[in-house]
Amino acid sequence: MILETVDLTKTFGGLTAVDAVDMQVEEQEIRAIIGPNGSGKSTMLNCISGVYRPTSGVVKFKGEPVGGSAPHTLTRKGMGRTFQNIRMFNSLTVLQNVMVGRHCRTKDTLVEDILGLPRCRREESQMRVKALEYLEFMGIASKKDMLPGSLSYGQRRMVEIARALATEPRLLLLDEPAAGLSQTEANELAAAICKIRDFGITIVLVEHNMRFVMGISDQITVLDFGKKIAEGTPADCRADPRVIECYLGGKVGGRA
Amino acid sequence: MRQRKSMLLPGLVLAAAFLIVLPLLMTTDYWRQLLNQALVYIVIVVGYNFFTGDVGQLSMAQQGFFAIGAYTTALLTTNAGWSWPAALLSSMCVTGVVGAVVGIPTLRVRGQYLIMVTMAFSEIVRLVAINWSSLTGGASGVTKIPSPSIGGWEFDTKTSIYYLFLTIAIVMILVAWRVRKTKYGRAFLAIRDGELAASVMGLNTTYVKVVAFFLSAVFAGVGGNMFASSFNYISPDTFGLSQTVLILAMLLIGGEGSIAGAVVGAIILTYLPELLRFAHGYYMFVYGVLIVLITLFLPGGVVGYAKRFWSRHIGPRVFKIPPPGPDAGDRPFDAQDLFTRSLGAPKKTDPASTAPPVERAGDAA
Repeated sequence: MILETVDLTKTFGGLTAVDAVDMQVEEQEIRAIIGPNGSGKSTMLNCISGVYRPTSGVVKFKGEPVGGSAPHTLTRKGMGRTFQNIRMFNSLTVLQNVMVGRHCRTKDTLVEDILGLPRCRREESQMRVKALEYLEFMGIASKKDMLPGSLSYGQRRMVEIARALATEPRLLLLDEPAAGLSQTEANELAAAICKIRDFGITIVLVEHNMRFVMGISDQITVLDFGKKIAEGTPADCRADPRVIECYLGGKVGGRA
Repeated sequence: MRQRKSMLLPGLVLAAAFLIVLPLLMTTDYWRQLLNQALVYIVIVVGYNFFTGDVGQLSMAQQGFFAIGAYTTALLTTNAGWSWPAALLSSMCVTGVVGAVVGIPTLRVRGQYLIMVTMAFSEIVRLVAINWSSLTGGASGVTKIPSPSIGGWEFDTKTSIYYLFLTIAIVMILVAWRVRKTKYGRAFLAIRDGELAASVMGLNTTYVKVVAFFLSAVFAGVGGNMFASSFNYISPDTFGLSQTVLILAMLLIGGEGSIAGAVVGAIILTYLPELLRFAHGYYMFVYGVLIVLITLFLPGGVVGYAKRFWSRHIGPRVFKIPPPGPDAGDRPFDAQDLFTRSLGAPKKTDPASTAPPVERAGDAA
């Protein structure tokens, strides 16, 4: 089990955004967290990735409690993530963006960088080569010298994932990766996510696009008002009356 | 690109020749002194650019570091009789240590709070310089600071000091350029563009900011040493709030986030008061209006404007740079290879899961 939350709770003032959620994610699983707007999905992801400090409860990553650790510590331990509203480094080129993801895996010091010593030169060129490989993997290497601002939304999403992969994660958290993508782009993204998983990376994603979620997830966790109301395979969830109720409100009978 | 490279060498030779004859073109010692002053500010503002330009956090502490660097050199070369190179190193070390020590607790705050904290730091340094008179000479300052000398070589004329300072400034610019080209430079810009994203990339953002602050402080320390040893006299008056504003104005007018901008800004604002002598009593007014106009109409400063002008009008004509062509196309890449290298062989292959999701969703619907 690579990721486990026990009784995870996050409150903002009087509002309980995530309410005592237990979740276990196995290695190499694709886990989706779904739920209506405001159900606490993104908050949950932020608690796991260290952006928020959980109010109570435990987050275990690779069996080790990590609740409240800083994001950069978690990244070094092997947890990568992307953001709902893509956060690119807009004054760096696409390639440099991905190179920043490699920084945490390099050891050259400031003095070596200033003097241009062998280790700095070696690490710089390795960073460049590796970054380019990740861009090629996501199919956007031809854009390497462009600024993120001149890319389409879908391309920026691919760069963001390449950048997260560059940190060498064991667990990749994706916050609404398909949001704002065309159907074609979403399909490409889904294929990429499956490919990433096949190489041993566990994926936890928050997503609204049901077609996308049902297509790629192994397991789905459904949240409503911060509480976990269902968990299981896509087929189980689709059939679960509580899930249908929370999405369609009241009357059972619609298709999720 | 080849044309640009072939012009690099002659360009450098020309620039070097210009910089070498420059002090000989100046008619008075006063103008040569201004030249040295410009070099002092170049070092200080290039350093300031690390933190306030690249990391994009407004600091008012550069002034304080400048003062500490100047006083360290002044006191060590007068009272303690240290040599100039030793004083230079001491100024760098003292400002570097103070920069790191002040930076570690304060750089967690940002925006207006950071401005207040750093401004307070500069004021404290100035007040200490005024009130600890047994050490610093109080309000009357330190006089008879020796000119720079290395071994037996005295730099006692404005022109010789110019060549020494020019060397220092070039070295410091090269250091800044190296930082900008490598890991830390990218990390600075990453933090400016998105601190949260930078931390999720595994950057310890507080640490990286302290590094930027530390570098700023060391550069200010070098500037302080240059200032004290070329003017031979310092007093707390030099290091008031107006100095902080001047350093900031240099960076904004030259173009923040760019080394060339820092250099150009330092030169412009060193000479501007001289060029505005004709305005007599209205000089401060004209000066202020010019600064307002430049910040309003030249976002990115003089260098930012020059770059845009170059790439729009001059570059395409002179070098006939072709417009960017269609994409070369992304060549297929063996993903297996990449991940096998970094993660080991794939552990699970489920052909159904790699199929495009549409079909699966369609089947189920």
